[in-house]
Amino acid sequence: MSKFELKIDKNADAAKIVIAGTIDEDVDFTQYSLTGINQMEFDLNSVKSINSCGIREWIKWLGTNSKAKMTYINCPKIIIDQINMVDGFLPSNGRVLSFYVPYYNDDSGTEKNVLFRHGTEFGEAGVTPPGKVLDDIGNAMEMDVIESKYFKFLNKK
Amino acid sequence: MARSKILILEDDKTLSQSLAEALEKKSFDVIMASTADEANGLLNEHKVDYIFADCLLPGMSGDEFVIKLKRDKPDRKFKVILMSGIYTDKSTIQDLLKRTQAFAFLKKPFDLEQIFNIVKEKEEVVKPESPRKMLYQIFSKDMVSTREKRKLIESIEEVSAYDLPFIYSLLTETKSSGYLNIYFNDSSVSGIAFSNGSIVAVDVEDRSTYIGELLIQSGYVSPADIQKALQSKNNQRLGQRLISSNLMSPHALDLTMIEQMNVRLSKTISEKTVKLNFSASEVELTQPSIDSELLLSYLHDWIASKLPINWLKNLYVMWAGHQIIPNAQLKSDHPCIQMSLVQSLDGLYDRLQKRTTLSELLSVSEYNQAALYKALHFLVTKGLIYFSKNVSFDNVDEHFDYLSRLKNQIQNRTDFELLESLGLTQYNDAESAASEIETLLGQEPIKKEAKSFALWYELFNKISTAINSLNPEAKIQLKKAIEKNEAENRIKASQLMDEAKKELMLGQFQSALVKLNEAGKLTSTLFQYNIYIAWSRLGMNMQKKDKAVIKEIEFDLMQIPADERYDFLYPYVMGLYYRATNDYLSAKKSFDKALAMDNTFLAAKRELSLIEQMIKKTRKNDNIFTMDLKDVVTVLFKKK
Repeated sequence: MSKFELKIDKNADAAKIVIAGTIDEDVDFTQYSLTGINQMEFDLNSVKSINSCGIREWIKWLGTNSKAKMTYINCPKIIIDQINMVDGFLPSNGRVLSFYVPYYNDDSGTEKNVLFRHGTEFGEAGVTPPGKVLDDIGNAMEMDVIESKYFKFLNKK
Repeated sequence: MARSKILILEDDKTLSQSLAEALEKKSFDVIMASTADEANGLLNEHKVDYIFADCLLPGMSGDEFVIKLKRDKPDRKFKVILMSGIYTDKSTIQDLLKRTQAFAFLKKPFDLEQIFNIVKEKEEVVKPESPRKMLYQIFSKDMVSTREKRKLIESIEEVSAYDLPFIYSLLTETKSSGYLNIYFNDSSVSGIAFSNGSIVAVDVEDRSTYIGELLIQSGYVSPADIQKALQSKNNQRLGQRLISSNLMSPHALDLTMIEQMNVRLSKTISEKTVKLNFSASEVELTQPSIDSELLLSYLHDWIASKLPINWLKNLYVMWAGHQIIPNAQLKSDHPCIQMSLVQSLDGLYDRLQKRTTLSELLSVSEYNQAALYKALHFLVTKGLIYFSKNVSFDNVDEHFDYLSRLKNQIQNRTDFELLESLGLTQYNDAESAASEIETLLGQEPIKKEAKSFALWYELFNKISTAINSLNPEAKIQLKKAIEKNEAENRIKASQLMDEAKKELMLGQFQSALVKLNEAGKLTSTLFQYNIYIAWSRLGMNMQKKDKAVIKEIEFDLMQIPADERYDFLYPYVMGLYYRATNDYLSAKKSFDKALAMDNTFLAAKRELSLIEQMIKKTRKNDNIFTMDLKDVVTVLFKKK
């Protein structure tokens, strides 16, 4: 896989945008025009990392079509961290529909990302984590984030 | 959460076995020893949370073992539960508890429920240490996993940008790869890319490159070379243009780019508060880069030049009485020990080997306090020393001295200033802060007649009252008021600096120094402050050339950060310094550099012509019969 990949699947005035890899200074978003799109769904499942240049470029890029409705799906932790810390990373008219929550087992050292979906594990009323998360050999896993910090973005909306 | 580990030190195997089984059923990890030697062996391999020790053992008794263990391993944190079927009278038990500082005493035979209650009760009392404290303790661990680093950085809500050198060092020392993003309150983001511990890229919002200034100051090119390169018609960056025009070597550009990263990193270290995020990721090792070895000199430079003494004092107040533990890597020939901050403090290395405390070091009269704080912070930042988890004092007098110093440090402060200086603003009631206050003050004196007893309680009450007197809303208001006051002070200080600059240009050094000192009292964040201080002191000392003053000036120069060196002023002041130390050739080079940056700078022109005359005069006085051979050759060659 190359360092960064972006695919736009346009359908009338809607688009599904799938992003993978590292978002950094080498990414040139200007080649991916967002004009004319009214509804965008960003699938961020395979974003591996983002640096400060990438954050600035991302905000600038989304700003080129700030009126469109935007939804983020399959957000990895690195994306949720940016949403929590950088104003504008998720535009004010944007929503997160699903995101990953890291889990950890202290004894085996196993890590696992669990997908939280809007309407199932989280919603307007708050977060309802799955009853039990087990690793591959059946050990119970604990949420590996500081909940008050990680879920902060849900209160912004 | 990790399971608690318990060591049972008991020679009655039946009892220890049944106790172990019961505790294991309650999800504790248990290890067993029947003698003190055996226990010591196990403790070298295991970190335990509790020790159940039988008092009467063959060889060393359980209580003696505990006392020795606490003395030998003061950084270990564990709770002791003493057990005995023989010592059952009240006064003996009280004496044993006092001497060993044990949490509980169990008379044999005991009920298992008693044990579970003790362990449970203690589990509930255990409070996590503040994340910032944990951050600075991280090098006490032999291995730091990526997850641990990430978790620790994540757990810190906000951090001072003055903490950044430590974070950079942590990520370098632990061979990290990934991106450290730094979020400032004004919504700007800076970032640093690490590849296996080397810094490969630094991105700051201020995109000034300084490349021209850096190249001229390093002596790689002249201003004329830069003009020539800029005239060439291509889209390359300045450095590349200079290389293409054969005006500079690619190696010189690499070195300058490294210095550029240093300047940018230096700029991130400021009085601002920041949020951090580290995402581990594969990052390619590109060149030029800053590796651990190179970072060492930059760390030294940043700590010497960027960190205000008051910030360091506030950081270390929580550890003043804790033992300083040297890491195994700390040897007398370690490069860090050779750095000027450490070298400026005679015998510091030996004192550190003897496990001293900051409190003790502060009482060494010949030590410059600012240099001491900075040298220690440098060693902490490199992970070469760390502080024991518990406060330790060899005797009552030492504890009393420590408390007296602490009292002096916090007197005349408002409640909020007091809490801020002690790092206790996050607490809203004294009860929840009790263990933190006790850590700060050291163990509560047991004997009422001890001279530290009254002082300990006076300070405990003062701090507790301060915590209880401020609600969160009041704290926000007071913080705002302090910020406003600081902003006003900064304005006043800038005005004083401007006046001082004019006076320096007119050669009124003494009056300028007075104004600069006044400005320095108002704020610690004035741009090029130490350059102007050094200028005024050098001006005053140019005739006398007092060695003691020159040493102080050297410390002023050491405190000039990288991002304040790249204009005409720094080489000019360095020129004055070389002149004061009779190094006329270096002085000439420095004045030349200053004029290369700004050829209208009259003071530098004046100094240059003066120094050229001095050089001529020195050469006239050269006597080939009393010179070194090298100088003879030089003189003869030049005359020829």
